[in-house]
Parts: sequence; structure tokens; C-alpha cells
Amino acid sequence: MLALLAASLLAAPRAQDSIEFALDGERFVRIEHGTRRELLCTLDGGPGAVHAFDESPLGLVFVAAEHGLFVTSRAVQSLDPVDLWQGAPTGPAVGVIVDSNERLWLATRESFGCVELHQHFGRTFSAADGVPPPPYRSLARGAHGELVLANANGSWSYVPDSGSAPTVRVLAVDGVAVVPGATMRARSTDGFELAVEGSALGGAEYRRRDARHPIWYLLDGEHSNVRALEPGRHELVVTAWDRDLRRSPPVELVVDVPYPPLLEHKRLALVAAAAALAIAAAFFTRARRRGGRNAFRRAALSTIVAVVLAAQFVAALFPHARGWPFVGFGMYTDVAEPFSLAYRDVLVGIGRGGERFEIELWSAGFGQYVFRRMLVPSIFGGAAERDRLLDELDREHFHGELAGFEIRCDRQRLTAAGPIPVAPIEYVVHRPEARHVAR
Amino acid sequence: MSLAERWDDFWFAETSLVRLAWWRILVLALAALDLVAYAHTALADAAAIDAGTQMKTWTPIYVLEALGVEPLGLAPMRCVIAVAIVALAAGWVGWRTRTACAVAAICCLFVTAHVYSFGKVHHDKVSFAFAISSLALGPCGARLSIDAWLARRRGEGESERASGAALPLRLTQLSLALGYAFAGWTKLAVSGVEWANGYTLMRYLMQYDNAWSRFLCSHVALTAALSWGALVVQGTFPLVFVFPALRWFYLPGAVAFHVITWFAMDTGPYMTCWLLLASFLPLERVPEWLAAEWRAGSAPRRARVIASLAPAAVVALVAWVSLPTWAFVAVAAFGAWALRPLLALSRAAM
Repeated sequence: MLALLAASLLAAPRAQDSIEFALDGERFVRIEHGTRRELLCTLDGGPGAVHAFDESPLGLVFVAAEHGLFVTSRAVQSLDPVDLWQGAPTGPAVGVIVDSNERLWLATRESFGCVELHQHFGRTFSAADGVPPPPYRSLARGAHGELVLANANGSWSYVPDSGSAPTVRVLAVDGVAVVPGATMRARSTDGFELAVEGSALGGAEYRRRDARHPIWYLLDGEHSNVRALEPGRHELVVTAWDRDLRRSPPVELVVDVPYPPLLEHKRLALVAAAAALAIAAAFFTRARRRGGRNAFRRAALSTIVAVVLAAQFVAALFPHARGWPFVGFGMYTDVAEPFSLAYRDVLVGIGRGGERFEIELWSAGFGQYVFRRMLVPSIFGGAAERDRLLDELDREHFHGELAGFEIRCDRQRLTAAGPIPVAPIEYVVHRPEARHVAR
Repeated sequence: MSLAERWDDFWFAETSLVRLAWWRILVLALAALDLVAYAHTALADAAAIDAGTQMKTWTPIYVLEALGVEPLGLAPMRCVIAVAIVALAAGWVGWRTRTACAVAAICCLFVTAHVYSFGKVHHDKVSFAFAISSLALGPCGARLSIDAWLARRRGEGESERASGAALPLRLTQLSLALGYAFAGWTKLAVSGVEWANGYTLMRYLMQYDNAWSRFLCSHVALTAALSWGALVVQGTFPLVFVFPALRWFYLPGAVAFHVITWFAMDTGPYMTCWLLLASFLPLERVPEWLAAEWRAGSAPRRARVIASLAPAAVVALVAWVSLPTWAFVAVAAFGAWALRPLLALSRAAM
């Protein structure tokens, strides 16, 4: 055990400065210290013929290939398929271009569209958007930054972000008009009906996320059922997205989802009190039959332990963490399938000399479980939020030595021979210029 | 034997008062360590409330919500912690012991509940909450305490065992057993035996990556074996009440489970959970048993002694990792100094 510990502590990160990528015919190769080699592909059968690749500003390299879209980075030795979903173009990929707005443009043989870089959902253009008919051959950048999509008959140019920005308005929760700043109350413990309206180029798609969580969930249009929310108060953010995956300014919405009747606080207290009285009655009746002070003392103690044990059983059967110390054990219960992904959030500090180091979550004041909740404002909040986090981290833990930080989610593909590190999800690299100069 | 008699036999069996006294010393020492670990967060939360810079959302646990408790500022939180320290010290030396234990329980659990209400609730202190709360329900100050010394001076009679001494130990044992069992049963109820396919554990180990994770994930067969191990230890833990000899399997199994999850899933030491497994031991007889086994001289029996002391090494490791060096040295020195007279007192009190 100690040897394992030592080995893990002594493992040193590899230098990544001299790594490049290239196309060698229809093969995608990584060039390190002059050595060219193909990457291990986590997809059985490999990527197939590779047609194009492009690198994101944060160092992710996306590869368009016969078997779909793949991703790698300098930090990993693998090429991993991107799990595209929710409207993203799919099929054999012929071209990919990453732009600076956290999205990539993807041309497959049969479709063209846009993909969000963190969660890999997207929008596929239709004939109504003006795209020429497939099959497509390639996707390239034009001389003025426009996208050039080619098919057998010629090419079509597209300039993203040319229309007006999307807008959204949240109208009602369960039919009750939303008052800005007020807490709305859902009628059902299962969730609520949300009415929104908005406008966006190519038609608005609406998404919502928890204010402290980075995942965007798709809403079913202007009238949608929001489900799978725990009982209690929820701070939500709602946005509209256009076909270029530009999102509207967020609208904040606070909704209180009621507890199920069994867990409703007053009812719970009444049921618990009634159960305790019944238990006490049973024990004290027995004590009366026996007589003596000791019998009554035992009855009182027996009532206490019986109530405590009953509460533990109930909590285990109907788990809700807020009942602590009476809690259930629903954690770590879902099953992972072969070839699924493991995710791990990482906060990396950047020193004044440019050196990078992983910030241990506890030492930075983040519990493992509140990590995302604390960092999400920095992911979505822009430079001001990021400066605030940087200042706080620096002041509290690094005493002026922290010049920047990176928030990313490391990923591992699970295989029988163990997990294979694949390209991470890069959220933020924040290193303001003013901090490069040592104080 | 009727059900009622079985109930009485379980909760009110005559039990050694010295065992309960050692239990009190252990639980309150654990509470003190836990207070050291949580006070920083509790005070930081309270200071942020005063300064208006609290970024975390106050989501009170049921009890605090029912009592209408709002987040505390720095001054009242300092008061709660100060009272906790005084009560822990009084309980530890056994002065007004049951009152001190009750006050310590209220204050320590309040600090924990306050921290949990600003974040996520954890499972490591579920049994601990019952262990510290139930101390005052038994005669925990009847031995190894100032109260006992004063009682002797008053000439009050002493008995070696008492029927009320079992309850705090039994409640902790049951709480631990229910915790382990429901953890195992819930996995099976939600996901079935598919949970032990190896990939599930592999994902958790990678998600909460720590020093041993990569080695343990080197092949899915290894993670599958570990998954089955966890399910067996957790799901069948209550058998320890039916066959007490199984303590020799379940106690080391549970400690190993927590050490592995610490080094492979970064759960933290979880000491407030597994150290309470000592409630299954006849604590007052442990020193003599260790000495007798060692003196017996045979290699297997000495190996058993060394294996039995392994949890103590883990405790030392936890202290080394969590405490500043000066504090570790001070605690170790105090422990070394106090152990011999405490053992002597313990022998004299039996």
C-alpha cells in the first residue's frame, strides 16, 4: 500500500510543448519529438479515413473521420469518439472547424450544423436554413472567416452570428404568471409546467440548468414539463439558443417544488409524533404491568431507541439527505456500462511562472461535492466572476502566487483492461495579463 | 424467550461500566478531532454570513428547519464551539459526565448540522451522531471519571456492571449495522447484481480519483472482485449479531473497506464511522487480551495481535495527515503519557 502511495506521488507529468498533430494521408498522427504515430482509438475499428481536424482555443483537437467525430488533446494518448446528441449532425464526418465561441462546426456526409463544445449537443441545419443538398465533401474556413461547405455541385458560404441575438422570456410556472424575483411554487412533487417565449435565428430552442450546475437540459419548446427535480427550492437559469448555438441572456427563475405528502414537514412531524406516542404507549403499558421505577426508566429508554431505529428504517426506505442523521443510502447505486465515461472535475492553478498544479479540493475550501456549485459562476459568469474567484483563491490559499486557474473535467473511457484517459472537457482557462508580472 | 424479553436482554443486559467509560473516552476524543476538522469550515461560513460574502446556499436540514434556526454569525458560532470544547473536556475527564456529554453532543451535532446546511450531507457521521447522543442515556461517568472518584470519597457503593451500560454501545452497533446493511441492500435493490460488474466501481474510483485508484482499476476483474467484497461485507453485516465470532471477519472487513475507499475514492478517513466499530469489542479486556496473546509466544497469535493493532496505525496515520506536526507530537506525547495510568485505573476499576 505504501509503495503504491509513493509511486503515485512520484509520478511526474510529461512535457507537452513539443506535441503537434497532422494528417498523414487519411491517417491522423501525433508528432512528439519528431516521432509520428497514430493514437490509440477507443472505438473498435478505429476512426476510419480521417478527413480533417481542428484545434480549440483551449487545446482540444477535434477530428472528422469516416466513423464520426473524435477528440484528443496533448495531455492524453487516445482518440475518443464524441458522443453527439440532441440535434447534433451525425454520421461519417467530412469536415470540422472550431471557433472561439465554445462551439464547433461539423459537416458530415449527410448534414451540416453546430455542436456545443462541453456537452456535445447541437443544431443541424435544414434546407430552410439555405444549406445545399448533401452529400457534402468538405468544410473549410473562407478568406473572411466564413464557413465554406462543399458538395458535388460546388460550395456554399455561411457567416455565423449574422442575425440578431436570441431572446427569452419566462412566462408562467404551472399556469401562474412569473413575477421577477419571486419564488414560484410548483403544484406537483414531480415537477412543473414551464411556459416561455423567445426569438432566435432559425427558431429558438430553450434550455435550462441549475444555477449551480453546468449541464444544460433541453426544454420541449415553449410549453414544457420540467421533471426530475428534487423537492425543495431550485434556482434555475433559462436561455434560448439559435441555430448557431448563441444563447440569450439568461433569465433566472426560482421554483419551490413541494415535498411528497409523506415527507411534507408538518405531516412528517405529526406522523413521527404519533408513532412515538404509540411506541411509548406500548412500552409504558408493559412497564405498568411490571411495576417499579426501573421498569418505567427502561420504558422511557426503550421508547427513545425504538423511535430512533424506526426513523433510521424509514430514512433508509425513503431516503432524503436533509433528514440527517436519519439518511438513506441511495448514493453509488447506479450502474456503469462497459465503454462508458468516468468524469472528474479538476481545478488547476497557474503560478506566476506559468507552472500548473492541481489544486486539492479540500485545501482550496471546496468539498468534493460542492466543487461544481462553487465553480459554475466562474464558468458562465464571465471575466468579473473569474477574477473574483481568482482573487479569493489567491488571497485565501496562495498568498499572491496564483496567476490564473483552469477548470476542466477529466474523462476516462472504461474498458476491461482498465480506464483509458481521453480528452477532457475544458471549461475555463483564466489568466489575466495583469497577473503575469511578479509582485 | 418472548420478544419483550429478547428486547430487554439486548438493550439492558448487565454490561461492564469500565467498557462504557472507555467508550465515552473514545467517542469524546473522536468528537474533539471532528470538531477540530469542522470548526474551520463552520467559522468560515459564519464569518462569510457576517461579511455578506457567503456564496453557498443555506439549505437547512430538517431539524434546523423545524426549529427555525437561521445561519449563525461569527460570535454565536464561536460561543457554540467554546461550549463544545468545555463540555468535551468535562466529559472526557468525567466531571458532571452525563450533563457534559449531553451538552457536547448538542454543540458538536449543531456545528455539523450548520456545515451540512451550507453544503452536502455526508454519511460518515450518522452513527457518530447516535454514539455521542446516546452517551448521556447510560451511566457513562460511573468509572474512569472525577465523578466516580468523588462517589468513592463519599463512600457510595460500586458495582462492576450495570444494566444501563449496554444501551449507548448497542445503539451505536445497530446504527452501524443498519448503515452498512442498507448501503449494500440499496445497491442490490436499485441495480441488482449488475452493480458488481466492475465497471461501476471503476467509474467511481476514477471519478473520485486518489492514490490507489489507477492500480485497483488495472483490470475489470479486480474491480468486480472488490465490488462483490463490498456487497458481502455491507449486505451481511447484521449477521454479527447472530454469530458474534464473525466480528473477526466484519470488523477488519469494514476497516479495510474504509481504508480502501479513502485511498481509492478520496472519501477522507471516515474515522468517525469505522472507529465506532470498537463498540463491538469488550474494550475493558482488550489490553489484557493483547498482552496475553503476545506472551503466548506463538507466531500466529502474535500475528493476530499485530493485525488487531493495525487500526491503531491507521488512526496514527489519520492524525499525522490531519494535524499540524506540533499538534500530532503533542497528542502522541499526551497519549503515551496518559495511557499507562488510564490502564492502571481501568484495571483497578474492574
